[in-house]
Order: sequence, then structure tokens, then C-alpha cells
Amino acid sequence: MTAAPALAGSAVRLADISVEFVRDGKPFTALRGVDLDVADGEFVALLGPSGCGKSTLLRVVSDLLAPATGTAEVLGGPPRQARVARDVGFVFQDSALLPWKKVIDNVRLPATVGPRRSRQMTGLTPEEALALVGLTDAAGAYPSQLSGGMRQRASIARALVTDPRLLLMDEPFGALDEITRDRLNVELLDIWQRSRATVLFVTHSIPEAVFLAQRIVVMAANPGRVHEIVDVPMPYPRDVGLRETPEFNRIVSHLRRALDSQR
Amino acid sequence: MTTMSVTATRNRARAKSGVPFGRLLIPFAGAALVIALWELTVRVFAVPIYLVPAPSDVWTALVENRQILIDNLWPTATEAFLGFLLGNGVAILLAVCFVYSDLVYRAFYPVSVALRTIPIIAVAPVFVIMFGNGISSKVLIAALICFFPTLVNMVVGLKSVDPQTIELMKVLSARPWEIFFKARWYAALPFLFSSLEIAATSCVLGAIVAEWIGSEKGLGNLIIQATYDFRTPFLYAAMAVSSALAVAGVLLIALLKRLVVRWK
Ligand SMILES: Nc1ncnc2c1ncn2[C@@H]1O[C@H](COP(=O)(O)OP(=O)(O)O)[C@@H](O)[C@H]1O
Ligand SMILES: [Mg+2]
Repeated sequence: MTAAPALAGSAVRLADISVEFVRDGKPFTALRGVDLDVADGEFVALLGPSGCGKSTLLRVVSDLLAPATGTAEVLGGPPRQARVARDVGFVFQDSALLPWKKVIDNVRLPATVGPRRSRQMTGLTPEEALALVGLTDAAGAYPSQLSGGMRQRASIARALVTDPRLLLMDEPFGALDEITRDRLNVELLDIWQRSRATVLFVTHSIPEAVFLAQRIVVMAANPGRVHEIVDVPMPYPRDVGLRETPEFNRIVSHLRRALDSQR
Repeated sequence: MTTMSVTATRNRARAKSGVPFGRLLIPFAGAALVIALWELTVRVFAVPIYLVPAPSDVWTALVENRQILIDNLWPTATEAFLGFLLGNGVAILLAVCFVYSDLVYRAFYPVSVALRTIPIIAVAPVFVIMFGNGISSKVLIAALICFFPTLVNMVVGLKSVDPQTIELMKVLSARPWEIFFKARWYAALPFLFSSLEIAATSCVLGAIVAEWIGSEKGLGNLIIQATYDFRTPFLYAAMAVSSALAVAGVLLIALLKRLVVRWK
């Protein structure tokens, strides 16, 4: 950690990050002293009760929020640089599709906003991105005509057109039914394996975190901080059968105890 | 995917056929019935024509006076239209200021809402005194009456944009005007159209009320004249033209809404 030899090794480096808000006139510490290192190409899940600062942490990484203390390094530079270069993709819980644009135009959005130099699309074409998430037939539909799962697929396609090296996902499947969620988890792993992007995935579902991630960052609230980091030493490609294995269940119960001990 | 195509097909089918033709006729049948009953009542009870004219009398007055009615329709329509543009335009601009500056919002929003409670009929004479008997006082009164619903709706509409949409735009390094024109503005459009529908009728109301207070022409003027002269069928004819003007406005807005707000 100390020598910091190869810059290429880390996609995200957070050191002593604190974030303060003013809430009801009083200062409120949303994050305190967060250290986190995410390797290039790694899939890391952030797991914790609601209010522990998971979204806040993603906002720091995506340059939506400046930390009060500490340093954040994203893809070898300040978060701002990574954002302007469109190296960071963001997938929100409620898909954040623009209701007035057809699905295909939503996926094209990154090419139509921002400074010109940011608009150069290096990734998939919007059509390819839609095909990748299985939404080719829905290209001409409005978001209100899609199911929740299809909306999340569309929002993943929108994130993919910028060919992000870092994909931030804030409870992207949190509002979906379990069957859809399981299916999208498998699809997401497939996309991740092909793109080799780094993924930071926020969830408050323990099985989802274990199924997806190589490492799980367990967070605690009041103030938001890193409680424990758990490795998930199971090989990819993973499939739904993984959930039945003793190893999977061992990690799940370990995480459950870690989260319970916080109260 | 199957779900998708099913929903899409269903929506398309609904959009194409709309309401079944038979059901479109029902309101017309209802109106015809009311008119027939009205005609019958007036004849059976021999109600004097200056008290309540029969629909046939109103029709006669409408046909006989069509030139006068048309000549007086244009000034009212012009005042209402200009008032509509002015009132809604200023309301939209002010709503943008309110949404972007918390200070302006806190300073002027309460005042705006308080001003709203003053009845238009009480303000109208003040405007006539200030701006005279010409077109400007009418336009201003029509504008004022359109102003408040649009201001309120537009503030709500511009604020209705999903916070995640704003964050998405920021992650994409969108500039402030892009966030406005590509997100906030669209989010506000359904709200804007609801208030424009209200404004389409109220601007005609404003223009007519303003003409009552002082003018030499316009449908409002005809209404006042007809009342004083007990030319009741003519009064009814002027009323019918006024309401046709308002209906035309509402239909125009409804058409525009269908063209613009396609995603709902
Ligand atoms: N803009 C803000 N202003 C004030 N408080 C905030 C703001 N954003 C988040 N918070 C607070 O910070 C804490 C962490 O929020 P968040 O990161 O959204 O939690 P999580 O995503 O883990 O549920 C919460 O208690 C929340 O109320
Ligand atoms: Mg959150």
C-alpha cells in the first residue's frame, strides 16, 4: 500500500474520505475515514443498511460530491478527470430514463450532452448496446411502456455506450422482483466478463452481493464507515447453482452476522 | 420481450381507434336533447322572448347578426390571444427564476400567491384607469388571469424532475442549460399544458370582463349593449360566439398537447 508502485493496478483509491452534510441545521457525518482500494477490472459490492453512506460513496467517486477530507483517485486521476473523459458509467436504482425519450434515444443520450470532446463514443453503438441487453425490439418504445426489469436493462445499455472503465451501480435491481433480479445478475456478470470494466455495485441484499462480487465491502452507519471487507473466493462464470453451495451459504451467514453485530 | 410487444400493440391500437365512434356521438346526443327540451319548454309555457329566447330564436339572431358578431369577435380574440401569450410567457420566465434562485422564490412566491386571491373583476377597473380604454388594458387583464395557474404549475413542473435525472446529467458532464432544456423543461411540459388548458378559457373570460368595464367594441361590449337594450336573443348569440371562441382555444391546446406530450 505504501509504495504505490503501478498506477495501473487501481481503478479507485479512496484514502481517509469523510463527507459532512448539514441536516436540520446540525452537521452530520455521512462518511468518516473511508479507505478503499479497488483493483482494475475488479467487481466489488458495497453492502450495508440504508443510510450508511453507500450512495454518498458512489457520489464521491463519480465527482457529484466533493469529500470534506481525504483524497479520491479514480482511474489514476482526480474523479473530475474520469467523469469528463466519460470513463465512469452510472446506473441508478430507478433507471433514471427520460420518460419523454424513446428507449433508443435514451441510450443515445450520452452522445447528445456534455462538452463535444466528451461526446466521442468509443463503446458500443446504441443499437449494439440495446442488443446486448436484449432490448432490440423495445427500441422505439417509451420507458413507461417497459417493465421495471426492461427499464434497468435500458439504463445499463445507456451506461455501456460510453465504454466506461468503471461502472458504478446504485442498487440497480433493488426495486425488481426476485426472479427478474436473479436473471439480471447473471446477465450483468456476463457483460462484466466481456467488458472487463471495474464495477462498484451497491446493494443491501446479502445473496446478491455474494453472487456478484469478488470482494464485499461491509459498511456500518452513524457515521458511515467501512466495517469489514470480505473476499468471495469463488470462480467465474458463476451460475444460479452457486447459491446452493455450502461455500456461498458460509459467506452469507458470515455477512449476516457482520451486519447484525452493528446494532 | 413478449410483454413488451403486447403492451406496445395494445397502446397503438388504443391510439389509432381512440374512443369508439358511437361513444363520440353520446355528448352530441346529450346536447341535442337539452336544446330540444329548452325549445319545448319555452314554447309550451310561452315564455316571453326578452326573458328566455328559444334556441331557434337564438339561431335566427346569430344568422341575422353574423357580420356584427364576426366584427366584434376579432378584437376579443386578439386581446385574448395576446393576453394568453403575455400572461403565460411571463409566468414561465418567472417560474424559471423561482426554480433557479431560492432567494427570488422566497421573496416573491408568497406575494404572487397573495395577489392571486384578488378577484379579477376587482382588478379590471384599476387596469382600465391605468392603461385606458384601448387594447392594452384588455390584454393585461387577460394576461393576469392566465398568469397565476401557469406560474404555480410551472414551478411545480420544473421542480418535478427526478433528482436522479439531474445526477445522471451531471455524471455526463451536461452543462446547466442542457440540464434545463433536456430535463427540467420536458418534465414541466405536462404541467404547463394543464395550465394552458385552463388559460385558453380564462383569457377569453378576461378579455370579455375587461370589455364590460370600458370599450367600444368586442364581444363583451356586445353583451353589455344587448343586455341594456333587452335584445335577449342577440345576447344569447353573443354568448354563444364567446363560448365558441373559448372552445376553439381549448381544442387548439389539446391538439398541441397531443403533438408535444407524446410519451404519456
Ligand atoms: N444531500 C444530503 N443532505 C443531507 N443529508 C444527506 C444528503 N445525502 C445523504 N444524506 C444523508 O447521509 C446518509 C447517507 O446517505 P446515503 O449515502 O444515501 O445512504 P445509503 O445509500 O447507504 O442508503 C443518510 O443518513 C442521508 O440522510
Ligand atoms: Mg442509497
